[in-house]
Amino acid sequence: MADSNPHFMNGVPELLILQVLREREMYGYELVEEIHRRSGTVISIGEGVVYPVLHGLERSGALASRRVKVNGRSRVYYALTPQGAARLEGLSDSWSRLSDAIRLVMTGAAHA
Amino acid sequence: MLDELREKLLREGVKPGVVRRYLAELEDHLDDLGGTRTREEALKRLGSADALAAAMLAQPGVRSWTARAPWATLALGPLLGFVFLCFLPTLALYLGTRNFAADRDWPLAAARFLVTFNEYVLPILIGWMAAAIALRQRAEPAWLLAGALLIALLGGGLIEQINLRGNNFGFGFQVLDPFTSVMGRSFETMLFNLIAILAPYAVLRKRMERSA
Repeated sequence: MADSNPHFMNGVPELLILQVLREREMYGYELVEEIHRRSGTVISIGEGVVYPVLHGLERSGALASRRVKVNGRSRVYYALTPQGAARLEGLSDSWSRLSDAIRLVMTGAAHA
Repeated sequence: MLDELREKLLREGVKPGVVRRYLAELEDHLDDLGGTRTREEALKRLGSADALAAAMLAQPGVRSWTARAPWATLALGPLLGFVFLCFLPTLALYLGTRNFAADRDWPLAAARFLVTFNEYVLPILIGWMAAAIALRQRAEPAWLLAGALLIALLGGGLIEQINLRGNNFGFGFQVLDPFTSVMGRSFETMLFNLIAILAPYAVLRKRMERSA
C-alpha cells in the first residue's frame, strides 16, 4: 500500500538527490551509496532507477553534468545549479509541512 | 539485460541519445558494483529491465519526435526536405551564374550534374535517411512506407530544367503524373526509387528483428 501512494512518495528521490548534491558533485553510484549510508541504510533508492531522475533534473535545469575521465574510465558527475538549489528549498518546505502534518495525526496533537 | 532494456526503450519511442546515455551510465554503475560482487548480484541491484524502463518512461520529454509524430519525421519532413534540397542548390547556381559567372562554362556542367542528381539520386538518399531514422528508432513501418511512396512519386515525376544561356535564362520544375504514361520514364523511375528505398530497409529490419 505504501508503495502505491504517489502523493506521499512523489518528489522524495528528487529531494534526497538534490540534498546530497548540495554539498558536492557526485556520480551516480557514489550518490546512491551516499543516500544509503546517510539514511542509516534505511533508504535504498533503486540503483539503476536513479539515472532517469538525474537526467530529468538535468533537463529541467536543476542539475548540471560533466564527463570526467577517472583512472581511464569516463564518469558523469552531477552538480546542483542555482535553479536546483531553489527547487530543493521548495521541496524541503513541502516535505517539512507534510511530515509535520503526519506527526500531528500520529500523536493526535491537533485534538489536544 | 541491457540489450533487452535498449530494445524496450527504443520500441517505446525514447530518443536514441537518451537511451545511449542511460545504458552507458548503467554500464559504469555495473562496473562500480562489480568490485565485490558477481555480475548476477550486480544486475539484481541495478534493477530489472522492466523497472529500469518504467523509470525512464515516467520522465517527461524523453520520447522522440518519431514516436510522437511519425507522420512528420517519416513522411512530411522527408518530402519537404526533398523539395527544399532540390530547389535551394538550383537557386544558388542560378543566382551565382547570373551575378558572377554568366560567361563561364563550369555552371553548365554543374547544372547537368544537379539535374541528374535531383532527378535520380536525391529521392533515394532522402528515402534512405528516413529509413535509417525509422530503423534506429524502431518505428512502425506504416509512415515510412507513406513517405517513401510520396518521395518516389515526386522524384519519379520530377523534370528539372536549368537554362544558363541566352534569353531563357532561368530554371523551372515540373512534376509529371507517373500513372498517365505507365510505361514512360517517370513510372519506371518511381518504381525504381521505391524499390531502392524500401529494399535495404526491409532487409535491415528483418535482420534487426532476428537479432532482437
